[in-house]
Amino acid sequence: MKDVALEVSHVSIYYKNLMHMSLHQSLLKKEVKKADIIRAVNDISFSVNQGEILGIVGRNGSGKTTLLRSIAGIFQPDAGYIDTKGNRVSLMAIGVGFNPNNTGRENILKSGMLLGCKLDYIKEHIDEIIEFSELGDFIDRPVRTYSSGMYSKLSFAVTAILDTDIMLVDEVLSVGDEHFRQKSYKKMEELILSDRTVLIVSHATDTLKKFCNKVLWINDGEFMQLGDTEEVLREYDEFMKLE
Amino acid sequence: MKEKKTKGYKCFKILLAAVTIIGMIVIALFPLENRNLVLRFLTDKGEFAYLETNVELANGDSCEYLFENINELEITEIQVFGRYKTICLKKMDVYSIATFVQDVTNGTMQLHEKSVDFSTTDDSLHIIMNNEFGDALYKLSATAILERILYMGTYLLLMIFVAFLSKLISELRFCKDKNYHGIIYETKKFFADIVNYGQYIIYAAKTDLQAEVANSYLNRLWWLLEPFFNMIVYVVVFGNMMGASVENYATFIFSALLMWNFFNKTVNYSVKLVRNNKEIISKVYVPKFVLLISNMVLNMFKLLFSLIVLVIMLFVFRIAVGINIVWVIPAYIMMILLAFGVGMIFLHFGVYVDDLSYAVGILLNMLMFLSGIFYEVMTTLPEPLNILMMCINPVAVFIDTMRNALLYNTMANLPLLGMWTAFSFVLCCIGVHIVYKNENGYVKVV
Repeated sequence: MKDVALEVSHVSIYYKNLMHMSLHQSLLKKEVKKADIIRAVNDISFSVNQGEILGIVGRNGSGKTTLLRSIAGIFQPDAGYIDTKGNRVSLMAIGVGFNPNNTGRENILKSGMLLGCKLDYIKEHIDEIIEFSELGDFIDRPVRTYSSGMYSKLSFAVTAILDTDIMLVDEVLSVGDEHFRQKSYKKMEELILSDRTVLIVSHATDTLKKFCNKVLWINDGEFMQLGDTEEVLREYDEFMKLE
Repeated sequence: MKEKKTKGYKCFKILLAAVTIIGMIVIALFPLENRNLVLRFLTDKGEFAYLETNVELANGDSCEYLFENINELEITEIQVFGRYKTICLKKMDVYSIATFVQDVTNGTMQLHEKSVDFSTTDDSLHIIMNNEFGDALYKLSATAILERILYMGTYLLLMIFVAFLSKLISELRFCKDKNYHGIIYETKKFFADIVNYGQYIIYAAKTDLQAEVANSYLNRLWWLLEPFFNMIVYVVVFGNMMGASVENYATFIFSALLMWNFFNKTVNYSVKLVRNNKEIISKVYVPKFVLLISNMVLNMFKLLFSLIVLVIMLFVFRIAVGINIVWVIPAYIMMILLAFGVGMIFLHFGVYVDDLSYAVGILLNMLMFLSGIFYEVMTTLPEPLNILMMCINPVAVFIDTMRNALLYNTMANLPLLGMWTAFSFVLCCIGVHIVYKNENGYVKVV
């Protein structure tokens, strides 16, 4: 029996629809109506063991990304709690806070530190990141001069090379040109098959079938099923067909 | 059980608020007795101090001053002090001294540009002041705005301290939940965050500085040029109006402008902080105050650069600097604390209220003109307003403290500075608390 690496228990996340208010509105104290509260994630519990790979499926807008973001600590759940057991969590997303006026190299260091890595550790791995990102001389130019492909290649490289204990992958496998896509796919495979805890959000059932030990299915923020990959995905496919 | 505790606590809160308000009213209306005044004559033969008791002033006795064994005296200034030796209530320049003098026994008075010269044929100089002087002193003796505000401030601080303490006790006794956002939890988290993100703060400030100058021709020179040309503009515009009454007007403005710029930039930046850093905030968790501190470090570095210019100016204009210059340090500390505290609070509201940045811009502009950057608050503003502005405007407090220390080599207005430093610290605590409590919701709004 392996240790539990991540525990999510009865988590609910609401979006209050207050968005941007003007000074005039806030002075008049317009109350938020109950109907304006959107339940993005509603009472979801699961746990992931060390080294396990969990796939998360669901329709668009069913709260998958919201769930990942709150596991990454970007915002706290409104109810329930998430326990990462002291593991460092990284959300693989495009561009971890790149400042367009800084050079690529500076941005690697900055976003690495934001991910919780120590400066020395990042400096050790920076050459690896630069090599993987295939940016060459561009690495010492400001990020604003990059093409969109270069930008996403760099951000993928940062999150892929810098080790974190729990990786949250949110559909980032379609990055760059064909060559880089294959490379990143291979890297992902390598990362996933190493003894890491990974959560993957994807619509590509083939990918999930290949990697995952377990699959969680959520629909409109509600818990639907959690269990064996084949089984859950079969029911999920059927559910989607009916729609 | 839990409900009982919260109910009791609520009652305590209401009670505390009531006591605070009643206490404030009592202090505001309490008939303080007239105070004694100490007059300090600054002369070419050193300082002379004379005590005027409240009884004498109330009786309307004529004010007479005897300088023993002195035939000739040049008086440059008279300073009036109240109960606190560090708070100068009024400064009289040579012109007003000359109008107040009624008679010199067996002697004459001559008015010069920098001093009033007295000479006598007797052994000792005996100066008799007129009734206007007595009236002016009586007014100073009777009004106690400064004292009232100081007492109120101290009282309020005490009450805030009691509130803090009660929160702490209730947290220690009743709360077992680890995720409870109490004082202990937040203090621990704050220092842990500082340690964890220290490297990031420094590095981000460094790279942002580099990015700022990388594409400009004059790069680092801009940090000097910006405040320098600002100063020139102000000296040209205001110099004719105020310059005559203030010595070394350029240094006078420049030293204040540096502090104001730092404060202004920090507060302005904090309002838009979450929006400007949306890229980072929506991708990874970072304590929001880290971003603010990083920006403050950046501004601090620029400030250090301009301080070099200030030091050069001190040499060029031959301004005598004395031991009292150390009071510049608490002034800067207070300024930084205040900027951080106010910044944190605006950071929070800036997320939810779209047009706050305009309102803050206007407020800061008003504050700039009220804080005596171009003039001296105590001498330029009319009588009750100047003391009021000195007391309730923290920006005026730190600017005045700094200028007193740097240019005039006098001690700071310590009770006032202490009070406002404590208030700034309280603002910091409140700001950090609000932001910690709400920062996880910011991403949803932006």
